[in-house]
Amino acid sequence: MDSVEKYKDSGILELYVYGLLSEEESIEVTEAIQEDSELKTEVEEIEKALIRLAADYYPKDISALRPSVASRNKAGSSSGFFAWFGSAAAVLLLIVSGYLYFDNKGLQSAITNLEDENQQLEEQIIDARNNIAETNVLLDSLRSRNISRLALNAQEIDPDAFAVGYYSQEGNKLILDAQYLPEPPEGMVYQVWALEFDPLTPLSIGLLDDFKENEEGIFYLNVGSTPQGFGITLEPEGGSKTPTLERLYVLGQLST
Amino acid sequence: MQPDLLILRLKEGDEKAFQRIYELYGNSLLGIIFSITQDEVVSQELLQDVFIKVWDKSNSYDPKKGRFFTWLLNIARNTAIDQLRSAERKNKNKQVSLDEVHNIFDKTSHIQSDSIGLQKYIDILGPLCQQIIELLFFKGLTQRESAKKLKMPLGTLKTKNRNCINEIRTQING
Repeated sequence: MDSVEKYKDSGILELYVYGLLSEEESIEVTEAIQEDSELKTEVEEIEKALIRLAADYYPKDISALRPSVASRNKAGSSSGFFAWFGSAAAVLLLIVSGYLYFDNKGLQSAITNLEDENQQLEEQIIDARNNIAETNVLLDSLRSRNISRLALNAQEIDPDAFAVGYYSQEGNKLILDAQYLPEPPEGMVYQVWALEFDPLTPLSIGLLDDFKENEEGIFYLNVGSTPQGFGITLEPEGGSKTPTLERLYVLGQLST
Repeated sequence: MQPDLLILRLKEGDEKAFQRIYELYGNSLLGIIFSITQDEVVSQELLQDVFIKVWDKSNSYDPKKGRFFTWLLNIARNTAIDQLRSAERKNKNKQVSLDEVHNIFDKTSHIQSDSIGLQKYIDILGPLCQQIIELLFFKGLTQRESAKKLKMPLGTLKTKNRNCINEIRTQING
């Protein structure tokens, strides 16, 4: 372990990816990373960072620049090649079978990589299925009777902000579609309030804590009282006891 | 992860594999070429030359001797440097010196300086890191040459370089 750390800290792996080591040194590093998965991961991480850095240096859509190689034969496969092909076939076959034997290892590692890719694909499928399940739950809730939809409209602070609430009186639940709220700044969080209007009585029903992580922007909230409307304000992390009305983003009233 | 299967297919002359390799590495190689030539039009032409070489010479890639990306990197650097040298020969007045530290990250010398892509590195990398990465990674100067340019011992250069790359890794993964 210690020697692996030392090896990493020596900075040789970076130079290896840069292509600045001598051939002998490079071969040594290649062998070392084949024997130690930690070193291999390290090299892959370095490489990933460099690929990104170089790509970001001159960002451009290069799809139109791709050269056509369709008409170019690979080196060595010219017509001259075919002329002596017959006589060389036997020798080649021998070499190829030898090569194939040794290349088996390479193929096996290619298979491992493919298996990794398969696994990633599988994970994506599982995620997609979970999403479908979630969507079905959402659909079921929206289809139930006694659900009122209310638009939460933009306030002065941001005329583009918008949210939709689906309030179920039965279960006293609010499903909130908040995908059109701007991302809250660092250290701030959206807080949702159930409101009674006369007199104005706000009651906090929750924070949209995981706003950034929640890609769909759908939130499920429990509503304690019997509100007349809902509002969302931007508050310091952890939320506030009372809403900061200067940072009221959206507001909506339930039709009675 | 090194795309071993793609590389294998490329060597066999599979055009689809070639296309995919282009998609995976093309932008990075363009960045390398542009960092050396600092000329947009020339860089785009050279990118095509580089990939034709990749296609023609793919059998010369030997995984024992290094990463596939490193192999591509060398072709890109050499192509750009060759071009620079021949331009220098044609136009004696136009002095181009590869081994000079220009600070290619410097905003004023960079055509896309307002792109967020580059800005994030400028924000996290100090001037020394920018120079180290320019010389070692982009231009591929030897450790010795770079250490001399930057007036620091070889060991220090290696350690500093690693720290600089770590900064970038944190930025990318964070």
